[in-house]
Amino acid sequence: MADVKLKNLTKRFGKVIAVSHLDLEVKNGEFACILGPSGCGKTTTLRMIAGLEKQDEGDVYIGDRVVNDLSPPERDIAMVFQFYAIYPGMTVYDNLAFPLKQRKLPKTEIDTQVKETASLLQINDILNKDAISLTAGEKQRIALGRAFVRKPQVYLLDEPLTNLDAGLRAVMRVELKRLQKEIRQTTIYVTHDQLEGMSMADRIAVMNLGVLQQYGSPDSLFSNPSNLFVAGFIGTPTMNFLECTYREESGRAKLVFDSFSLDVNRYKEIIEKEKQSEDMVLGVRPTDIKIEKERTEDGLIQAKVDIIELTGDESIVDLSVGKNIVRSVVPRRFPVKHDEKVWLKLDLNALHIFDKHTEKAIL
Amino acid sequence: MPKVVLENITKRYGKKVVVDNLSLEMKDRAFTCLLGPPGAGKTTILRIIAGLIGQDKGNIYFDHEKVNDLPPAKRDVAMVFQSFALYPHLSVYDNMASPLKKKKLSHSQIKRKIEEVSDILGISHLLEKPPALLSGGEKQRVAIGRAIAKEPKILLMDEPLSNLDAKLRLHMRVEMRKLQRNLNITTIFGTPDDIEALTMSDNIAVIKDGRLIQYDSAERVYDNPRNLFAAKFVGSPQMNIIKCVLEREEGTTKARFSAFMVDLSKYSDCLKDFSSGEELLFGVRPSDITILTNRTARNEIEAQVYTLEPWGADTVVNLRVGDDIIKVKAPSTLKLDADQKVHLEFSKEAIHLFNAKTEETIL
Repeated sequence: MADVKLKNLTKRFGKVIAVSHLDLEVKNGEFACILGPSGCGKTTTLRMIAGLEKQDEGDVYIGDRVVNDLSPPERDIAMVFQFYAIYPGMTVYDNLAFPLKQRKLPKTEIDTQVKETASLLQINDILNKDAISLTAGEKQRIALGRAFVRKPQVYLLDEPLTNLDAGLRAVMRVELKRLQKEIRQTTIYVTHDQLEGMSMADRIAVMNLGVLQQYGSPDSLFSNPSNLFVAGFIGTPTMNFLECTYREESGRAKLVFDSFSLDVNRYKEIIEKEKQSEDMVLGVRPTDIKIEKERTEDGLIQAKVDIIELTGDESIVDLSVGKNIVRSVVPRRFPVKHDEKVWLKLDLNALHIFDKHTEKAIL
Repeated sequence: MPKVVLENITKRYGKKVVVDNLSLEMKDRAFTCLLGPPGAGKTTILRIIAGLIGQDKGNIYFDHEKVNDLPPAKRDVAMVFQSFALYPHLSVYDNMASPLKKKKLSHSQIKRKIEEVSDILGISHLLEKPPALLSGGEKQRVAIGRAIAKEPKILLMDEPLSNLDAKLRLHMRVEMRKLQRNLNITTIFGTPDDIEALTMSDNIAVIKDGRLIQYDSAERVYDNPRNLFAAKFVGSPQMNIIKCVLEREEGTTKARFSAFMVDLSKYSDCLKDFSSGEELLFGVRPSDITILTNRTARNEIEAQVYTLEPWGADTVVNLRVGDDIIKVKAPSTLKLDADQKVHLEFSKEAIHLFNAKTEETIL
């Protein structure tokens, strides 16, 4: 077990900069996730940690060692590409032994490793059971356990759940997270799926176009995104973005939109201090917009119901506000109709304001 | 616009039955979704409706007209494929014009039609470009534009959103719903994604192994799944399914779980065919369970936090209850620690029961 540090890591492929001046620190025992859309540099970063790709600049530390010049086996890492289903009709023992047999290890070695893994997973008492008799959770624990049979310094996981169906993926997420907490091995997990990152990782590094955008806990990324990219990438349905102009009207700070304005005087000091121009983007999550049937107070925004989407226990309501479309999430039985005129109340404690040009968060 | 009626449709590929005696009446002008996992037969059904492949048995009617023997061109349907299937060497304009030329429309008619459709879809600025220069969402809109420009009576779509990234999918869901409403066209849509089905369709046909499992409004499929498969396939996070044993004593009817009991006396009518000691499957959606951090008198279900999955505004809490793991969707404002002990309360109106052998719905 060891911590992992990346210092000023840069990788180019021809003229394309795949990873640019990346600094990242994963603590010993931590579950970190590198998250981003395709082409963001996440897999390249993982491959540089593994030693499968050599960086053009910068250093990779595993523990206190700089491992730049070490081959992948010398780095003592384990790379997991995919989790496989487990085979019914075979005992748990044979399921665990299967990948080791394929690697043609001697029998005694296999036996030692299987038993070690079993105690790690706390499944010694079911080793001789047929896998078919296990619960879904137990099965997946064993599938994961097979990948975790060695005890290297660091586990590197590259979208291991991608090829599983949605139901199994949900079970695997739970078991993987729990297992990682129990065995406390440093784990770095790469994915493009924000929900996977959010639901499993202690900290998430969001990357875009080779550049680290933000590194923090799932809660901090959701509640305090540092720029427009992170704000738009984390959370579903996505955050609403509305372009606006900052203005002072009779001493009060306001954001002016095409069809309404919003009093943000409580944030005047921060905005005045941070702003670089008057052009801003207001960000507000669909869960932070309430729909009112009547104009119950001042400051509500008039809107018209456009589309109602049932998603299960909730509905997503698309509303036209001037030229913009705003999304709100409401309980499913919330009584609104297509084309109905309603009033919107934004949660002023949950507003995000971004600079339109730098795209950085002001608030 | 006609309704589409499938009557006892069967299709085999060699010995494999892909569509199995399927009957379905899809309403005119409605948005009907064929929902099922890969391999369920959705694409085959769409292709049979389009006339691209012939059924082995059964009849297809558009309104009251039997169309079994009509070739695709005479059926007046348009199909949008998952891969978009645009001609790479033709401009967007020529892609859209090609089915219209086949219909022998004049140049000016074609021009007017394409202008009208591209205006609706917001692709007027792309008409001169080749498909290679378009983004995924733009290609998809062009494919839809090509399909609707020829003014079909029926629009068939085979997973048109599957090749788009998550954010765009969310956007296109709404766009397609609006478009369908404006065009007022009978639309049949195949997808493996339950959220797409719930959000977009008027009616959902749940299909598995070529057979119709349930055909109902989106709300009813969610609230009253016909069997275990439909219950597990629709809704995210998935419905909790927990094994229990029916117990009858002194006039009460109860379900015994590994670590608690649930009183089912008020459902004793539905359960009269089941004897004491028989195994049942109990279903409850994660949004229909409340976590209580203080014990109340009426509550007996003790649980321990297994893992927490922050999803943003909500947290999916996985709890260990006896031998079972139960998922609960809770607001992220509820702060819990790993291994914390809590109590659970099921919303009584929202419980489901399934026959453990047949997997049919009891309640």
